[in-house]
Amino acid sequence: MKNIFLSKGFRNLQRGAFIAGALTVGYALAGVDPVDAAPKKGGTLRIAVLNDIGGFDSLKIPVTGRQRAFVMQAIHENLFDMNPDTFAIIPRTGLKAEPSDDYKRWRITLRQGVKYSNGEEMVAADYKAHFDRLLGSKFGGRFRGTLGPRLDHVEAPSKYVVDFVFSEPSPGWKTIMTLNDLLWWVRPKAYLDANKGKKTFNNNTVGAGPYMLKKWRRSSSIVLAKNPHYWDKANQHVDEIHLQILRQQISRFQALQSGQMDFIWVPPWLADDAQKDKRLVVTSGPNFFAGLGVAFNQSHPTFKDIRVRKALIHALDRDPLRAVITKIIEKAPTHMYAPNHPWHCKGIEFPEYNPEKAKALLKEYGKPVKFTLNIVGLRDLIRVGEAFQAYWKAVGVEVAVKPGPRGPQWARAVQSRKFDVWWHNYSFNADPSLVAMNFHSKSRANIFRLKDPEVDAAIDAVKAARGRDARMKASCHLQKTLVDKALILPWEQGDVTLAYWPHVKNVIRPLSIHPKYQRIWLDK
Amino acid sequence: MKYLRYRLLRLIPVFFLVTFASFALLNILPGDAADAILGGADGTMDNPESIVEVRNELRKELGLDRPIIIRYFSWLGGVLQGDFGESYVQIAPVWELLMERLPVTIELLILAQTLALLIALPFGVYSALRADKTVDRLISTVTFGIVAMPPFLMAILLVFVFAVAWQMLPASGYFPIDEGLGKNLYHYILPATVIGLLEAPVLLRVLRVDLIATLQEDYIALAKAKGMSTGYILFRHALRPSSFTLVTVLGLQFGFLISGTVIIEQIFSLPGMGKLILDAIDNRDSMLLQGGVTLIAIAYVAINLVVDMLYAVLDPRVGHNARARS
Repeated sequence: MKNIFLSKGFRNLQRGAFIAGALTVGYALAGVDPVDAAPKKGGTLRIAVLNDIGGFDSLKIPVTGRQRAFVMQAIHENLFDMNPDTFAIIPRTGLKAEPSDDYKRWRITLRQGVKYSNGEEMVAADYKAHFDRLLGSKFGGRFRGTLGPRLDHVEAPSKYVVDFVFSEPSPGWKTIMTLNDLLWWVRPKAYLDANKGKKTFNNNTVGAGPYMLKKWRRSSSIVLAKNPHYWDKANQHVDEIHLQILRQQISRFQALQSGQMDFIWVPPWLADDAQKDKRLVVTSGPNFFAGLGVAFNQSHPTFKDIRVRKALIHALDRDPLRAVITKIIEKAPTHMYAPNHPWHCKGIEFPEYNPEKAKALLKEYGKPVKFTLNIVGLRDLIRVGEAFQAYWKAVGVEVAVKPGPRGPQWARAVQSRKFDVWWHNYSFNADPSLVAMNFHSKSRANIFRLKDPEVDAAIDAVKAARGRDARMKASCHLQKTLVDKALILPWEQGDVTLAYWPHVKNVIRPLSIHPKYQRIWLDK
Repeated sequence: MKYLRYRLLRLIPVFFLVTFASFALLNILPGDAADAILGGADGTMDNPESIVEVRNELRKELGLDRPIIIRYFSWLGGVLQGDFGESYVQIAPVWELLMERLPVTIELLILAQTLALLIALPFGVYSALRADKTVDRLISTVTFGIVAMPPFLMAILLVFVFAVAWQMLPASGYFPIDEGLGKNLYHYILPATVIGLLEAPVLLRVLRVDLIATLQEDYIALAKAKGMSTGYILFRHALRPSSFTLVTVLGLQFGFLISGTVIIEQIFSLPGMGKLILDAIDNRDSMLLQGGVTLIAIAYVAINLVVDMLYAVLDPRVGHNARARS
């Protein structure tokens, strides 16, 4: 009988196992993930998204939109990107960003040889045409101030140089250029000209990102294929990305569990279930670009008194609320920015949970406190609202919870400013000059009708500060002012949870609700 | 022909009533399509800076600033010229959107009804033949159990077993036929099964009752006396006259389910008519809603017309009487 342990096949197997073992030990010692070391090309990445995108023309849909941005980031590429670990700004299609002394002009040098999916080269004239179209439209006013500083116009002094000209200093513009927003969904000038006035313009797009639109079936699916002219081929892995529109959060999650999908973004209330499924990989990261908090409408007479605002914050024990109701394991934010956020200021904390202190403050105030808490009619928010109600009632505050339907009502309520306390998505906290616009008395984004000269002065100082240290100092002062005045209570700093199968590799730590799935490769 | 004309004329008041009611009701609800575009269906919204001005511009562009009655008649004028208008939110011709969605629902219903008939026919016949026996009681118990189960519960149950636990079938999603019939049918298995299983007991019960009554007719006794086999009597002489109620219910259910599959379409993320109408209401997209409602009203009348014609096929006396009346 032949001894299989002496056979050539077995010896080869032994040798293979030894090499594999040695490599594993080697990689482990070097701190490198052995799989991540060699990205594989090809395959189809299947992702479930929540909603359809409506279309590609920003003049037809003058908002960025969560799902639109999710899809568009793979088709269009920003000038700059942000390193999720170091927060350093990385050149992408833009190479250099130089501000003028007064920060009213930013000069961007474009990377040469970047091509759109239709083969045209990306040049400065495209940026000018794109911004002229947006700013010159009837929604121009909105686009001008979408991301904070008032953009006046865009110039193209040479083929690869773009100038952004502002009517006010804009020290945070470099960070803004990393944000996933419709401002950066630039198309070739020739494409814009050729499709001017065409009804089909909204149905397609051309971008310089790693993927291009292959097929769009309304309310059903979006298929993206590799952009054959993409400049950074080393970061372009899968052949196709199939984005399936599944409108129910639970359907998306079940589609992942069934193996039908490879990767999804998980809402906070499903994060716990995702963690429990041991077959899946779950990654969480704080959302550095947005936060959610409770804010008090300053036109309501009760909230003009700082004692009431402080009492309401002292009355809430947010950690158990988050853990039990929304199943968010991380502790509630104590600062304006999370500890690992580049603009975090140590020691500037929101008032802690102290019901006795709350009662004392309300007693000192001396009048009955009565108001309505307005909430978007989302399941988890309603439950949180009801829990808040219970906590506030416990300190003697009379509060009614008023959930409104999603979508239209939400916009209406914000527009009308007819609310007492509202869940505020204080977005754009990527840079202090951006978050500031939520609180300045002259900002139209100040939906809480806050008119506080001290806050205004702190915001103006943030906008005027030059250089990292000065800006940090001004930002900390602004944060202290907002915290001291108890104007907002952060609920979450936009924690983002991703769930995927182990064959999905190179999942970049999310900095926003738009994880960069376009960098993923598949190990199967 | 005269009968057909009469049925089509009946469609006119139905059309006016249904379309105006839906148009008016949608306008009573707070918010409009401009809010939906700016607000985002998922409850999120961009920076609210200058949102009021943008909203006003958008309302003007969409024609939402005009009085409701003018908007209704403007829509009506378009429809009479074959133009269903453009969806406010999806920014595409309504007719195009309807024609994208209708086949999804029709395919689902054909598959579901076929499955329901495949279950109902043999079990209904067997149940009627063994009326009040143990097997009949067992079938009745099971069918009542299924009828009592809400559709969403059955859907969740099937998804959990066949998709999540066993990974045999997709949990949701849709692939059109042009991307492969196999793939297309594969995604229909669970939703069609849910509807089919829920439909089957109703059809089964209806068939059973009618068949029991038919089997007690004198001509059946005569056929038996002639020595004809049970199978021959059943399929040649009993089944056809027992199918009247079955065909009526089948037709009514088909019409109802064109827009009534909304829960199943939501759970399985099928882009069908139910989902389209729900989205249109959610987005206050009156153009799209009107188009959908019109199509459903037409489908209802058309299906009932087909059912009436089927009566004549099942029983030639019906056609003869109708002709005599006209």
